[in-house]
Amino acid sequence: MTPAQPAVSTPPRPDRRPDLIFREVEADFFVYDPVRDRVLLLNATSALILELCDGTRSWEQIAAEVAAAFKVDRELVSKDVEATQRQFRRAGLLRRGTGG
Amino acid sequence: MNRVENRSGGYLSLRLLEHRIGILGDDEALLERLARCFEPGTGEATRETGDTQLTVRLSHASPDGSADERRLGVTTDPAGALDALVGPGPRSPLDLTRALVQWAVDHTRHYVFHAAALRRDGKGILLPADSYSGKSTLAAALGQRGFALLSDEVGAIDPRNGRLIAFPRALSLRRDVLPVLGLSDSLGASFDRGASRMVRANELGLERAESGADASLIVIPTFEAGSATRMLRLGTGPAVLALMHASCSQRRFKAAGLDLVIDLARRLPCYELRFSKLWEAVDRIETVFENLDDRCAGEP
Repeated sequence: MTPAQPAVSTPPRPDRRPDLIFREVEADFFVYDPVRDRVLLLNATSALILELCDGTRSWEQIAAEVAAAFKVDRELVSKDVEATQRQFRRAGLLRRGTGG
Repeated sequence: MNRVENRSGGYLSLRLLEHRIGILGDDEALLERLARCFEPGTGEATRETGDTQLTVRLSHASPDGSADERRLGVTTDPAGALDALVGPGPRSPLDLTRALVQWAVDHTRHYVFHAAALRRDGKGILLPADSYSGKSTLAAALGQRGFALLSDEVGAIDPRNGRLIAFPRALSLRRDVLPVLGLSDSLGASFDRGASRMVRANELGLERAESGADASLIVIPTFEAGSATRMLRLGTGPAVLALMHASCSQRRFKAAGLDLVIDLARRLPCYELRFSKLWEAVDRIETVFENLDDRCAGEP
């Protein structure tokens, strides 16, 4: 009998909900959630993170891209991305099962 | 015009936004009580093809007691139009008024905020706020300073041109507020055991605006006992969030609604007002209004 192989876990690839409505006005980024009937105001970093949540990138890859975009330390960005991940999850902005 | 006619019973005709609502009943006293919840005028909205007409037929669910205590059985055409708004079973005149207002708001092509609205010199002020924030009181007080009242509760904007539209419900004022306005606390009609009163604009000596106004100023009031009067200009982001919080229409308008709200927040000066002294608050609003840049007003 072959011993059970440990499951290979792939990192989650967060994917924002397709029904969210986005508007960028000057330095403000608005997201309207038609299910919860609620609008969120995001800062530039959170808005970029949400934009990168398209189902093709892991959180690590997103952190790397954000660090590159803002030319800041990757370690610092990773903490921001983790916090934003929790924020997005609480707000229900990601497709079910894609946020990790 | 709102009217109660004595035919075979009574008939009350209302125009709420673009809707014509006909109410038929067998008790003229009850219809009069219902009519007291609305202004005699009908607002400026005109009926257009495809607009809904609602007919409400009233009957007594329990014929004993005073006109307020008697409960109304309600049937509507289209059938069941008001059921979801107040639940099944009999209703009081005030229940029915609330349901009619909610029905009109739910079915209008206008974008509606939970807000008072007033006009002066063709310019409109929108006062969006939660219940018990003082917007009806502020609306009445601003009315005494020469603003014409569009509504103390339903701030409706025509999305085609940004104009505020009149909504002819009578003002709902707490009884203890009336003396602060220099008025008798027995003014108007009493409902809900007398804690609040439905008062028509002319009973308060106010002008009721029949035509609309260009939205020109947004003030978000909060009554806070003991607080100093503070008026803080909001940036676009907080203004959008505050307007969305007061929106009654966003769920239906979706992207178009978000665009309309963002446009209002960008185009119009928007202030947060905290107050405990009514007339200080009115002075502050009036000062801001008088110093409005005319470029803020007008069509989007």
